[in-house]
Amino acid sequence: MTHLAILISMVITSVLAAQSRNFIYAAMWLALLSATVAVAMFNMGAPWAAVFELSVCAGLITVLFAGTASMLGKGTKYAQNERRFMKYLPLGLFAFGVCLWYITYPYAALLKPSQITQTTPMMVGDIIWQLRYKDLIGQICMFVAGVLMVKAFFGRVKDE
Amino acid sequence: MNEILNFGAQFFTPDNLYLDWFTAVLLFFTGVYCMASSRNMLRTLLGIEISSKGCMFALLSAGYTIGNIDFAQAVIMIMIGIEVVIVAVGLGLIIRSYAQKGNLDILDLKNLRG
Repeated sequence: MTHLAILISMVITSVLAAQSRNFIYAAMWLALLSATVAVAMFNMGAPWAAVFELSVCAGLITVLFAGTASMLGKGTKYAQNERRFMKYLPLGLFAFGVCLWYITYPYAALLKPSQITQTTPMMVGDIIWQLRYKDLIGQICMFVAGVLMVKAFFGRVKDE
Repeated sequence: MNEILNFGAQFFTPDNLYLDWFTAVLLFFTGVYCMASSRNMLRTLLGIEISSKGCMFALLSAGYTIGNIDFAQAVIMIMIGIEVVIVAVGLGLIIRSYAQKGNLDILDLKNLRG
Protein backbone atom coordinates (compact mmCIF):
# COMPACT_ATOMS: atom_id res chain seq x y z
CA MET A 1 0.00 0.00 0.00
CA THR A 2 3.02 2.27 0.38
CA HIS A 3 3.43 2.21 -3.35
CA LEU A 4 -0.20 3.26 -3.84
CA ALA A 5 0.31 6.19 -1.46
CA ILE A 6 3.38 7.26 -3.45
CA LEU A 7 1.49 7.09 -6.74
CA ILE A 8 -1.47 9.07 -5.41
CA SER A 9 0.77 11.75 -3.92
CA MET A 10 2.60 12.04 -7.26
CA VAL A 11 -0.64 12.79 -9.10
CA ILE A 12 -1.89 15.20 -6.41
CA THR A 13 1.35 17.18 -6.24
CA SER A 14 1.51 17.43 -10.03
CA VAL A 15 -2.03 18.84 -10.17
CA LEU A 16 -1.28 21.30 -7.37
CA ALA A 17 1.93 22.40 -9.11
CA ALA A 18 0.04 22.99 -12.34
CA GLN A 19 -2.79 24.84 -10.63
CA SER A 20 -0.88 27.09 -8.25
CA ARG A 21 -1.57 30.74 -8.86
CA ASN A 22 1.74 31.84 -7.34
CA PHE A 23 4.78 30.50 -9.16
CA ILE A 24 6.88 30.23 -6.02
CA TYR A 25 4.27 27.87 -4.59
CA ALA A 26 4.23 26.05 -7.92
CA ALA A 27 8.00 25.58 -7.64
CA MET A 28 7.52 24.20 -4.12
CA TRP A 29 4.89 21.72 -5.33
CA LEU A 30 7.21 20.74 -8.18
CA ALA A 31 9.95 20.11 -5.62
CA LEU A 32 7.55 17.94 -3.63
CA LEU A 33 6.69 16.04 -6.81
CA SER A 34 10.39 15.45 -7.44
CA ALA A 35 10.84 14.31 -3.85
CA THR A 36 7.93 11.88 -4.24
CA VAL A 37 9.44 10.49 -7.45
CA ALA A 38 12.73 10.14 -5.56
CA VAL A 39 10.95 8.16 -2.82
CA ALA A 40 9.46 5.91 -5.52
CA MET A 41 12.96 5.42 -6.93
CA PHE A 42 14.31 4.46 -3.51
CA ASN A 43 11.34 2.13 -3.05
CA MET A 44 12.02 0.40 -6.36
CA GLY A 45 15.73 -0.04 -5.74
CA ALA A 46 17.23 2.82 -7.74
CA PRO A 47 19.18 4.82 -5.11
CA TRP A 48 21.57 6.59 -7.48
CA ALA A 49 18.79 7.96 -9.64
CA ALA A 50 16.90 8.93 -6.48
CA VAL A 51 19.85 10.92 -5.16
CA PHE A 52 20.20 12.68 -8.52
CA GLU A 53 16.48 13.40 -8.60
CA LEU A 54 16.44 14.71 -5.07
CA SER A 55 19.50 16.91 -5.37
CA VAL A 56 19.09 18.21 -8.92
CA CYS A 57 15.35 18.27 -9.60
CA ALA A 58 14.07 18.93 -6.08
CA GLY A 59 16.98 21.24 -5.30
CA LEU A 60 18.55 23.02 -8.24
CA ILE A 61 15.53 23.28 -10.53
CA THR A 62 13.34 24.51 -7.66
CA VAL A 63 15.87 27.22 -6.85
CA LEU A 64 15.99 28.24 -10.53
CA PHE A 65 12.19 28.38 -10.78
CA ALA A 66 11.71 30.22 -7.49
CA GLY A 67 14.53 32.63 -8.31
CA THR A 68 13.06 33.44 -11.71
CA ALA A 69 9.56 33.84 -10.28
CA SER A 70 10.75 36.21 -7.58
CA MET A 71 12.94 38.09 -10.07
CA LEU A 72 10.03 38.69 -12.43
CA GLY A 73 7.70 39.57 -9.53
CA LYS A 74 4.29 40.65 -10.70
CA GLY A 75 5.26 39.90 -14.27
CA THR A 76 4.56 36.22 -13.66
CA LYS A 77 0.89 37.01 -13.13
CA TYR A 78 0.61 37.96 -16.77
CA ALA A 79 -2.25 36.97 -19.03
CA GLN A 80 -5.88 37.50 -18.31
CA ASN A 81 -6.95 34.23 -19.81
CA GLU A 82 -4.03 32.29 -18.45
CA ARG A 83 -5.94 30.30 -15.85
CA ARG A 84 -9.21 30.12 -17.73
CA PHE A 85 -8.87 26.42 -18.53
CA MET A 86 -6.67 25.51 -15.58
CA LYS A 87 -9.57 25.16 -13.17
CA TYR A 88 -10.88 22.28 -15.28
CA LEU A 89 -7.66 20.29 -14.85
CA PRO A 90 -8.87 17.98 -12.00
CA LEU A 91 -12.09 17.27 -13.88
CA GLY A 92 -10.24 16.67 -17.14
CA LEU A 93 -7.69 14.47 -15.40
CA PHE A 94 -10.43 12.41 -13.78
CA ALA A 95 -12.29 11.98 -17.08
CA PHE A 96 -9.06 11.11 -18.87
CA GLY A 97 -8.19 8.60 -16.13
CA VAL A 98 -11.59 6.92 -16.30
CA CYS A 99 -11.41 6.68 -20.11
CA LEU A 100 -7.85 5.40 -19.96
CA TRP A 101 -8.78 2.78 -17.36
CA TYR A 102 -11.85 1.71 -19.33
CA ILE A 103 -9.91 1.36 -22.58
CA THR A 104 -6.64 -0.11 -21.34
CA TYR A 105 -7.55 -2.27 -18.35
CA PRO A 106 -8.67 -5.27 -20.47
CA TYR A 107 -5.13 -5.34 -21.86
CA ALA A 108 -3.44 -5.02 -18.46
CA ALA A 109 -2.72 -8.73 -18.32
CA LEU A 110 -0.60 -8.40 -21.46
CA LEU A 111 1.84 -6.16 -19.61
CA LYS A 112 3.93 -8.90 -18.13
CA PRO A 113 7.62 -8.52 -17.43
CA SER A 114 9.81 -10.08 -20.03
CA GLN A 115 12.91 -11.84 -18.85
CA ILE A 116 16.20 -10.27 -19.79
CA THR A 117 19.13 -12.61 -19.75
CA GLN A 118 21.97 -10.60 -18.33
CA THR A 119 25.21 -12.42 -18.95
CA THR A 120 27.23 -10.23 -16.63
CA PRO A 121 25.50 -7.84 -14.24
CA MET A 122 26.86 -4.32 -14.73
CA MET A 123 27.04 -1.47 -12.26
CA VAL A 124 25.48 1.90 -13.01
CA GLY A 125 28.86 3.53 -13.62
CA ASP A 126 29.89 0.79 -16.02
CA ILE A 127 26.65 1.16 -17.95
CA ILE A 128 27.10 4.92 -18.26
CA TRP A 129 30.78 4.92 -19.14
CA GLN A 130 30.89 1.80 -21.33
CA LEU A 131 27.47 0.89 -22.66
CA ARG A 132 25.89 4.35 -22.99
CA TYR A 133 28.96 6.50 -23.60
CA LYS A 134 27.35 8.01 -26.70
CA ASP A 135 24.53 9.32 -24.49
CA LEU A 136 27.15 10.83 -22.25
CA ILE A 137 28.82 12.58 -25.19
CA GLY A 138 25.42 13.88 -26.27
CA GLN A 139 24.78 15.12 -22.75
CA ILE A 140 28.09 16.99 -22.70
CA CYS A 141 27.23 18.56 -26.07
CA MET A 142 23.90 19.67 -24.62
CA PHE A 143 25.64 21.21 -21.63
CA VAL A 144 27.98 23.14 -23.93
CA ALA A 145 25.06 24.23 -26.12
CA GLY A 146 23.12 25.32 -23.03
CA VAL A 147 26.02 27.38 -21.71
CA LEU A 148 26.47 29.05 -25.11
CA MET A 149 22.75 29.82 -25.34
CA VAL A 150 22.63 31.35 -21.86
CA LYS A 151 25.74 33.34 -22.72
CA ALA A 152 24.04 34.52 -25.90
CA PHE A 153 20.95 35.59 -23.94
CA PHE A 154 22.84 37.56 -21.34
CA GLY A 155 25.98 38.51 -23.24
CA ARG A 156 27.03 42.15 -23.21
CA VAL A 157 26.37 43.89 -26.50
CA LYS A 158 29.23 46.13 -27.61
CA ASP A 159 28.27 49.61 -28.66
CA GLU A 160 29.27 50.38 -32.15
CA MET B 1 -13.41 -9.49 2.30
CA ASN B 2 -10.20 -11.47 2.29
CA GLU B 3 -10.39 -11.72 -1.48
CA ILE B 4 -10.58 -7.95 -1.76
CA LEU B 5 -7.63 -7.55 0.60
CA ASN B 6 -5.63 -10.13 -1.32
CA PHE B 7 -6.44 -8.38 -4.59
CA GLY B 8 -5.34 -5.06 -3.09
CA ALA B 9 -2.14 -6.54 -1.72
CA GLN B 10 -1.28 -7.99 -5.11
CA PHE B 11 -2.45 -5.06 -7.21
CA PHE B 12 -0.91 -2.13 -5.36
CA THR B 13 2.68 -3.24 -5.42
CA PRO B 14 5.65 -1.99 -7.44
CA ASP B 15 5.42 -5.23 -9.45
CA ASN B 16 2.21 -4.05 -11.07
CA LEU B 17 3.45 -2.49 -14.29
CA TYR B 18 -0.05 -1.42 -15.35
CA LEU B 19 -0.67 0.77 -12.31
CA ASP B 20 2.72 2.44 -12.65
CA TRP B 21 2.19 3.18 -16.32
CA PHE B 22 -1.30 4.43 -15.61
CA THR B 23 0.14 6.93 -13.13
CA ALA B 24 2.90 7.89 -15.57
CA VAL B 25 0.30 8.62 -18.27
CA LEU B 26 -1.72 10.71 -15.79
CA LEU B 27 1.41 12.74 -14.96
CA PHE B 28 2.13 13.18 -18.66
CA PHE B 29 -1.45 14.32 -19.27
CA THR B 30 -1.20 16.86 -16.43
CA GLY B 31 1.98 18.29 -17.94
CA VAL B 32 0.56 18.46 -21.45
CA TYR B 33 -2.65 20.09 -20.16
CA CYS B 34 -0.52 22.64 -18.30
CA MET B 35 1.40 23.40 -21.50
CA ALA B 36 -1.63 23.56 -23.73
CA SER B 37 -3.95 25.60 -21.56
CA SER B 38 -1.67 28.51 -20.77
CA ARG B 39 0.22 31.11 -22.77
CA ASN B 40 2.49 31.92 -19.84
CA MET B 41 6.01 30.70 -20.62
CA LEU B 42 6.78 29.84 -16.99
CA ARG B 43 3.73 27.61 -16.80
CA THR B 44 4.73 25.98 -20.09
CA LEU B 45 8.13 25.15 -18.64
CA LEU B 46 6.40 23.79 -15.53
CA GLY B 47 4.32 21.54 -17.79
CA ILE B 48 7.46 20.24 -19.49
CA GLU B 49 8.88 19.40 -16.06
CA ILE B 50 5.74 17.54 -14.97
CA SER B 51 5.64 15.59 -18.26
CA SER B 52 9.28 14.62 -17.90
CA LYS B 53 8.54 13.29 -14.40
CA GLY B 54 5.92 11.01 -15.96
CA CYS B 55 8.38 9.78 -18.59
CA MET B 56 11.01 9.24 -15.92
CA PHE B 57 8.64 7.20 -13.79
CA ALA B 58 7.62 5.06 -16.80
CA LEU B 59 11.31 4.35 -17.49
CA LEU B 60 11.91 3.47 -13.86
CA SER B 61 8.91 1.18 -13.73
CA ALA B 62 9.92 -0.61 -16.93
CA GLY B 63 13.44 -1.12 -15.60
CA TYR B 64 12.11 -2.44 -12.30
CA THR B 65 9.69 -4.82 -13.93
CA ILE B 66 12.16 -6.42 -16.31
CA GLY B 67 14.74 -6.66 -13.56
CA ASN B 68 17.23 -4.29 -15.18
CA ILE B 69 16.97 -1.35 -12.80
CA ASP B 70 20.63 -0.35 -13.20
CA PHE B 71 20.13 0.35 -16.89
CA ALA B 72 17.02 2.41 -16.08
CA GLN B 73 19.00 4.33 -13.47
CA ALA B 74 21.71 5.17 -15.99
CA VAL B 75 19.20 6.46 -18.54
CA ILE B 76 17.34 8.45 -15.87
CA MET B 77 20.55 10.11 -14.69
CA ILE B 78 21.34 11.24 -18.23
CA MET B 79 17.75 12.42 -18.61
CA ILE B 80 18.02 14.52 -15.44
CA GLY B 81 21.17 16.18 -16.80
CA ILE B 82 19.41 17.11 -20.03
CA GLU B 83 16.39 18.34 -18.07
CA VAL B 84 18.55 20.80 -16.17
CA VAL B 85 19.90 22.21 -19.44
CA ILE B 86 16.37 22.61 -20.80
CA VAL B 87 15.20 24.41 -17.66
CA ALA B 88 18.25 26.69 -17.55
CA VAL B 89 17.92 27.68 -21.22
CA GLY B 90 14.14 28.05 -20.92
CA LEU B 91 14.37 30.30 -17.88
CA GLY B 92 17.09 32.35 -19.56
CA LEU B 93 14.84 32.80 -22.57
CA ILE B 94 11.95 33.78 -20.32
CA ILE B 95 13.95 36.40 -18.42
CA ARG B 96 15.34 37.84 -21.66
CA SER B 97 11.93 37.91 -23.30
CA TYR B 98 10.40 39.59 -20.23
CA ALA B 99 13.14 42.22 -20.24
CA GLN B 100 12.38 43.05 -23.87
CA LYS B 101 8.62 42.60 -24.15
CA GLY B 102 7.49 43.21 -20.59
CA ASN B 103 5.29 40.13 -20.46
CA LEU B 104 5.49 36.35 -20.55
CA ASP B 105 3.19 35.68 -23.49
CA ILE B 106 4.59 32.78 -25.50
CA LEU B 107 3.05 34.16 -28.69
CA ASP B 108 5.39 37.16 -28.44
CA LEU B 109 8.27 34.81 -29.20
CA LYS B 110 7.09 34.82 -32.81
CA ASN B 111 8.81 38.16 -33.15
CA LEU B 112 12.21 36.96 -31.98
CA ARG B 113 15.04 37.87 -34.27
CA GLY B 114 18.62 36.75 -34.04
